[in-house]
Amino acid sequence: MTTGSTTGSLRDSIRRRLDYLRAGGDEISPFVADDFDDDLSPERLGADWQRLAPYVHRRVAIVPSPLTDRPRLLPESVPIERCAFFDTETTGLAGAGAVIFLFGIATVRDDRMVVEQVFLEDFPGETAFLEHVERLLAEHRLFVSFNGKAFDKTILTTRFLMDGRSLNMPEHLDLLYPSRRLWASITVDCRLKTLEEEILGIDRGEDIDGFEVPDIYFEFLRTGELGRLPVVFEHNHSDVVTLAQLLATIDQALAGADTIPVDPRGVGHLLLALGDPCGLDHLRRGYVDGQLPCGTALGGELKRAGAWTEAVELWRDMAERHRDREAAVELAKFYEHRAKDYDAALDCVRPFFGGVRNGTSGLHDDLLRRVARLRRKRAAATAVHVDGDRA
Amino acid sequence: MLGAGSSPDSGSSLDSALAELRSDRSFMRNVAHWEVVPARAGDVAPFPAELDDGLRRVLRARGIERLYGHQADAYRHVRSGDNVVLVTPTASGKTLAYNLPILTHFLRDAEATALYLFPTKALSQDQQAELDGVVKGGGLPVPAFTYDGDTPSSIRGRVREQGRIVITNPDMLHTGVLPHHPKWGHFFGGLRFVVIDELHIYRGVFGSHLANVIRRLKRIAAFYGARPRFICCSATIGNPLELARRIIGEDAVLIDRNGAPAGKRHFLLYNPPLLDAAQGIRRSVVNEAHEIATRLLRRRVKAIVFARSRTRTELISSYIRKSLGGRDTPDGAGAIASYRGGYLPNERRRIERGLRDGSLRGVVSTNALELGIDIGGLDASVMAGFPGTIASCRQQAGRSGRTTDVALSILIASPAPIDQFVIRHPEYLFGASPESGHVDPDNVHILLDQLKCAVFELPYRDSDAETPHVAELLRYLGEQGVLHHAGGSWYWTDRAYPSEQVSLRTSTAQNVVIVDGTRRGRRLIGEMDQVSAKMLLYDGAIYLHGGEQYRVERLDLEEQTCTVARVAADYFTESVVRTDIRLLHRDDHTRSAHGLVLGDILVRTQPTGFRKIRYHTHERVGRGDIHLPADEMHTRAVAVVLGADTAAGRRFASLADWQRRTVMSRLGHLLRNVAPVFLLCDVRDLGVAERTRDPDLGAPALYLYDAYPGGSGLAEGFRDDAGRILRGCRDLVAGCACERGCPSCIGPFESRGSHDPKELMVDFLDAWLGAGQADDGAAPVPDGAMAVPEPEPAAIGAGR
Repeated sequence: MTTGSTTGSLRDSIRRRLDYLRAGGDEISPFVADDFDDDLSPERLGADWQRLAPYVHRRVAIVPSPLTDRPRLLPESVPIERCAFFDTETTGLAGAGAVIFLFGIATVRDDRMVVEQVFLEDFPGETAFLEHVERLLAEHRLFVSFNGKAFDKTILTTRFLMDGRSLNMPEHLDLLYPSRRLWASITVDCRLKTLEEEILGIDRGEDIDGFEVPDIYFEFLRTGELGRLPVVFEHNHSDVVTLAQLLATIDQALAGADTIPVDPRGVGHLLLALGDPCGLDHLRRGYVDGQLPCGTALGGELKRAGAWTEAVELWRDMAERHRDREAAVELAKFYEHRAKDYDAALDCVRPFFGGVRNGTSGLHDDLLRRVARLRRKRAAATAVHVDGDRA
Repeated sequence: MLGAGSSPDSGSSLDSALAELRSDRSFMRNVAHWEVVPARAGDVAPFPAELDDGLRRVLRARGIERLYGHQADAYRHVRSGDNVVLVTPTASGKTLAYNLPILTHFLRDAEATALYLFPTKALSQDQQAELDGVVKGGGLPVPAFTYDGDTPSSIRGRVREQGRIVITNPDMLHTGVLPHHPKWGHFFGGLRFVVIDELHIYRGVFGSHLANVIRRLKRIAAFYGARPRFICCSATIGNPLELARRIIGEDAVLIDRNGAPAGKRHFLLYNPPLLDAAQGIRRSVVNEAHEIATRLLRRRVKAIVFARSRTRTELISSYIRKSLGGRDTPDGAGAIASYRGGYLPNERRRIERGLRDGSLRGVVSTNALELGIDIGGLDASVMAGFPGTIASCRQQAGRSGRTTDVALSILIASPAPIDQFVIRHPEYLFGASPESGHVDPDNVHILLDQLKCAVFELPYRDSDAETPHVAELLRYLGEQGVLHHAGGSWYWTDRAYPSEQVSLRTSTAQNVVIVDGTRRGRRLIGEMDQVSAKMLLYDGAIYLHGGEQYRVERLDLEEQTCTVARVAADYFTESVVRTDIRLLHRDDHTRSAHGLVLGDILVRTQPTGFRKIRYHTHERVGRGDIHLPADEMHTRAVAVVLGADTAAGRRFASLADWQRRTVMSRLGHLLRNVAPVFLLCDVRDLGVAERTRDPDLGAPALYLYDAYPGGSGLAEGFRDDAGRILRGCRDLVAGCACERGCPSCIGPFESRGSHDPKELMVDFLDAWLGAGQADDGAAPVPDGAMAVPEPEPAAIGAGR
């Protein structure tokens, strides 16, 4: 709902327009001319830009590569030349009306990175724009992004479909997920900008927030003035380069570099996912340093691996020293299902039974049900025993 | 459907119950009219030769050996590629009429898809179950899915990629499907059929929005190379073909010859006895409905009772249950349920199933069961009060009756003037044509919002703009910076996602969940929209739910929860709600030709207190306060100002006191009935507020306001068309065949007054119009923008 005056004025203005139209009969007055019919000249867009097609421009820059060794997160089957870092700038977040107007892609050539950007100056150029993007994608196999699975790739798929093409991205590595594992518990949030500042120690200088991007582009479309568009170009350029840097930093963190603050549970998890048993050591160290979640994760891993002795020891420690209910339940499960020792199982959960009488959490209900079941089982076991005596 | 679920003894139970009623003199004293509608033979046709064996098997398994005439007609027209509008009563096999030709087409075209639109989620679920039965029974390779707000995101991808039939509602199509059409490319590419069921629901603003959603749908389908055909189904309304044409934007074939046989129907108009003749107080509708339904159920007559509010639904059902001793009675007569909005979906499904399989003998419902939800065949329908329109009344009456057995419908009149009118004029109910549905897809406000959504979905080419009107609106949006023009097309250039800001219906408030906190573990028992919650779930209210009584402990609107506790009270509660309006802003300080002022108003609806009312005797035994924030709606209104500077105002001032009161209230009724015909909206889209002395305008004023938040152009439309609307009012009253007023013109004549309101109104309107013409020459009658066609005389004279 709008306020009175704006509602009134908006309506009045539509009404005046329609009255005007009516007064002039049914003839359609000519449409407004396109704001600018000619392409942007290189002088206006910048000398480094090159015109590819009407409304489509590209530029290529070469920068030092932040990658020194081959990162462990890249699958060995893909040669490094066929990996590409990419990022898009769009007019919206989702749906058929969100358009990509800037596409940046970077590849590693020895110690350098080649960064190519494609810019869509106005919508009628979209087909040529996508055609060029498609050519760039076709040269690569593995695509590295930040939050690209949920966002960039989805929107690329949509644009391609609406233009009658299909997107081909054989493999995709989204650095958001490993970054979350490593840093979500340390940094204020897990945006790329935050990670740059707090983990990578990069200061971009003049930059923009992602949410400003659409309006800068719309302003350009309306006025034909570049305005802050060059900052968007730089922002996109920095983003793809940062991706490589982020990948290198994740690699160092996994190698155990102590200069990088990390969540040991995350390191443990990522290493285990890569099939590296050192992950367990990170979890053990994290737990010993007082991080209970590392203990929970370690317990889960040990249970999966069937390392019951260490698991039981760990759970007992967690239950007794940290009064961790989850560990106690795990312990009880062990005694109930594996050791079939119902008294021991009841002993495990008993300390957690009293204090939370008014609690309504599902965990508590779960505990109550568990205790009831254990009592039943114990009674049944005892009854059999008595019957046996009689016989 | 042929031979669906009729139990062998039902006909004879009803016959003996009817005989008993007829011989009961105290009952018959209150029967104002007993209409017998003779049985009608059916008209059947053999299965089409091409019909698939699997489908034949499914039909035979249901005891169907032939099709009804209308089903065969629909089959033929759909197969030959026509758009079809099917208008036949409930339970005449409408679903089969479109499912058969569509499934037949699917067996020959492996890429074809269909979209089924239902106005509610409940109807979607019903359809899903029906389709599953046919598809699985016939072993057909046609995956059918429901896609709505309840569809888990984990299976949405599968629905989009594999669904051949997708069942959804207009709101979901508008916000969840069309804006994401690239994800549905496969589905839209194959789209051959769009089914719009319950077409009569899409009247007024809702219908105007739907017409535009359909325009968008057709544009998207065309983008993927598809041109779907439309199949619309409607309950009886005055103008089904016209409504369908406006909503689908294409011509269609009307099929309204019902081929299903119908048994003899007894239709009784029952007026509860007067308790106090001087004051016109009658026995309450609730008690009468309870007694009549109990009598029928005892006689093993399966019955549905329609009540006019949720509270009454619960009251009547609990009274009946008490009288019959609950479901544990040996004959099961007490196995009845109540049914209304606010029950959880599972509970509703259980009740529907119970009615179909016969484990429930009866149900008391709000109009929630008026739509086509399958509840099997019932013997009798009892309406506790006139449901407001002829169309609704016929729909509710039609809920009883199977194809061959005798059926009973009873309308119990309340003391309200409209009910009393119907009781005294049965010819109005049986003779008049039902109300018409109007939509205006080119309403500027609706079109403007819908164009934004359309451009978001696909750039709009200059050549797509069919009218200068659309071209102008696009340019307007371009100037506002929302669109950008390049290369002969308009593109979306706003960060917002437009369909989320455009609501198709007036009320989309969040739901409040109702939690029983009596026992440990807090049990969810129901849900209710926030507006209704304020009227029914205030602190201290007695909430009746499925025969249980709860007292509201706390309604927390922020958390959207209401905690209730089981109680045993001897009273129920009823809230007192006050609605008032405030003029916020008037557009300018001159009045138009007919003394009209346009402006923004605030409509405040506030529950102020509640009464405690004892069961059965319905005496007030206490009261309480309600402390809840008011609901406020900011909208557009037009005020008819009867000031001394207009001819109408001078005429008004010259009237006697009672005449002024009459003119004011009758004018409100009249305008509310007539304006929709000209504004192409629905009666529900307009609100009326009368002020004998308006503090803001310094004169008596009657406000007509847009019931859509923010307004949808109805107030402006009224201002522009006032001359013709007032003339329409005058002609309607003068030409109405009634003697001293009826619900179709100025409202029913109330017996207590001794004056003739009809003559007074004609007189007043004549004076107003005569003077208006002299003052202004021609009243401003625009054309073009609002594109109001000449009203058809039949539409104005509805009711004759």
